[in-house]
Amino acid sequence: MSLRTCYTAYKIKRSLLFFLWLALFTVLSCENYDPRIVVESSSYHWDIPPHIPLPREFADNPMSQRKVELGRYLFYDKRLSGNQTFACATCHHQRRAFADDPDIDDGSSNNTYLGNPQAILVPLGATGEAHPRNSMALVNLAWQPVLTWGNPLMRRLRTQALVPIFGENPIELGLFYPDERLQELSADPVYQELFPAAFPYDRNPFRMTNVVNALEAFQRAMISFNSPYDRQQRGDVTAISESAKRGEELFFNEDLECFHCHGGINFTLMEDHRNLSVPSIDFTNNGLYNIGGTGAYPPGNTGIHEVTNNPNDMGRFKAPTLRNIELTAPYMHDGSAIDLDSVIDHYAAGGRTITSGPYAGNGSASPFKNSFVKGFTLTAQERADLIAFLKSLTDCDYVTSEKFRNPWPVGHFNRPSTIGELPEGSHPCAP
Amino acid sequence: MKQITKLLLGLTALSLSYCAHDEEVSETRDITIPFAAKVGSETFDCNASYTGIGAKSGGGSPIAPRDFRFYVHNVELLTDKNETLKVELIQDGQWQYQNVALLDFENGSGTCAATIGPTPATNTVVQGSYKTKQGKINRIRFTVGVPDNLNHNDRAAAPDPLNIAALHWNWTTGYKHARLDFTSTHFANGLDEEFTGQTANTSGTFNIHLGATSCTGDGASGTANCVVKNRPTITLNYTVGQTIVADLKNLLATTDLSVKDKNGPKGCMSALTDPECKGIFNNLGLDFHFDPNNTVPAPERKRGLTSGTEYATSGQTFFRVE
Repeated sequence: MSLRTCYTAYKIKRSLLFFLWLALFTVLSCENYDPRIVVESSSYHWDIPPHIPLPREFADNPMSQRKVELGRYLFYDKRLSGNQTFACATCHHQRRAFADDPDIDDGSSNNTYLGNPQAILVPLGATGEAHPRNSMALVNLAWQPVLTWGNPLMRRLRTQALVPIFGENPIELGLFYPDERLQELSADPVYQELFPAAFPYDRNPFRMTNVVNALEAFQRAMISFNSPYDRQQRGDVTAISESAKRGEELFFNEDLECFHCHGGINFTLMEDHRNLSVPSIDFTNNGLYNIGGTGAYPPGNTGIHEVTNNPNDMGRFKAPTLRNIELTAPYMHDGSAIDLDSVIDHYAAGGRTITSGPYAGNGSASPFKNSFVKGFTLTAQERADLIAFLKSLTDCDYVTSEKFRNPWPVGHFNRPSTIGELPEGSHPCAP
Repeated sequence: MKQITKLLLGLTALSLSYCAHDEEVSETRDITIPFAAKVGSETFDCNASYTGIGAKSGGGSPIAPRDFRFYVHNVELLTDKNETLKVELIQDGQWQYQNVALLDFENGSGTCAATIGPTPATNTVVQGSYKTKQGKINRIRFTVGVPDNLNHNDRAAAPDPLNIAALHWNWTTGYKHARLDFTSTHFANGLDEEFTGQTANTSGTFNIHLGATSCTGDGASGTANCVVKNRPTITLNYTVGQTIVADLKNLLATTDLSVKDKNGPKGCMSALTDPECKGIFNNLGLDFHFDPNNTVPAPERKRGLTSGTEYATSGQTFFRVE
């Protein structure tokens, strides 16, 4: 070999080395790359009161009104399910603050749930499989660092969206041929406008990654800060009743301890926004089950324990937001508390006792229970006051706002009629 | 100064000899490694059914196939001089990405039409190249599954073959390393009352979904960490040209398919509380720390420092060479 060849080889090696270093550097930078940094330049207008801290913006999916609009059409589109019978909205109804609506017979209601005798209602998926979990309300998710009832890995709505779309244990939307379906969507004149508008720099915007990015944007735009209690906080002293004011005192006192797990901007343990250096993340066991005195929860529904396999995580779930709680019955992760009275009974007893059946046990004695769930006694008036306070968290603007309503024209297969869209009858926001 | 010149000359000589040595042994060869899916001696076929499967006394149980897909990564050839030859995979834009390949034996016909997301396309080979080194190739080594560094990527934007919905394991923000589903009339035993949220198992569905579990961290930025990785590394005696056989009958050899499904999803979906995983995991060469009473912290399970739980290690029987 000539010296020249070797030198060329050396040069190649040296440049290879340089690229290796560059690659290493890139990888190392990626390690520290946090998409949750604030995008200062984002022009998105967050429609929030001045005292509420701004949500973070994600560098890999900055907010835009056009993404929000596309996400809204997708949220209500049954073509996101394999058999085109379910949309996100089938289990998340606006007039229920986007929890499931058991009064609407759209295929997701399941009143004959066989698996768990304690469960009153959990939704069914598009193919009829029962879901072990109660549909969560979707409220102020832009301030939530972790999504769903019990999965510490779920940090982004666009990651979470993959579970209902593609999950199969149970099947929720059951979209197993996304490429074919995206082809169909790309032929819809509505989407021919909305996708390129939302993702103008994308040569082919009809991609699943854009679907979940748009769904994330829409759900982050679903903002509720106009309940009577919010208005009272902003200075309108007549916004809530005297009873609700007494209930507020009870809620925030150290006898009932409610606020420890349902505190902050959104009355939950979880919180994140631009002014926080570290998001607040915690899951908690509220003594709902204690099967055989071991602290066990029903199999297949054990909380973050299912993901971490850490025994101490048994029965640890998210303490959900109490905003609009009046509208989102039934309660608890498995829908096993029928109304606010049963929820207060549960906490007054310091945990639920189930006397017979496969899940029998005294929840108040669970070794995994949060120490703030210690029980209390209330007079009938105090109970009524507490419920009045909880009801003051109902934001009728949110559940009737046109911004979040089904955008498809009436008569379209995504909106056969407007039945069930708006509050009616005994609904507190009914006209 | 003379000394420095000498030193430089010496270094040049050294680098020359290094260069020469380097080029002498660097011969790149293409390789196609055939894989086959079998049920005992019979070839896996979506239009066939098989009898005598599992540990039921008196001759096993009948099964009808539904799915047979699994990922492999880090494919290496080993020589009799103990050299390791890394197989660089062809980046074909369909079945192979970086060092991962998907083997897919279901073609969506027959009983496989009932799996989740069946596809007519199949892939039965791993294709790539390796650089020759000293010695004769006598073994092959590969790891089943999607490697850690790709397991928590952005699945909605992932390239082929990492964007197949049926192989996403979204609740752990990862992938199913393997998906081996079938039905058995022996397993069709009505309602499993021990698992909430399940309807009657009248179809006799038995799903084997292998994936990493016991996860913490942030699933959205790719930094989730699953300590129970469930990626067996397989080493087989091998000469170039031979076929690697994955045998479902061997995988199920210690599983009685005639008993009622217990605890958790139908079949084995990798949960430590799922009794159907016991024999299957051992036949994959994985430790399975069956823990129905929820007592052992995940990191200890990983290290095998458990007591009071079932703990078994054995050689794998799922793969062989023909």
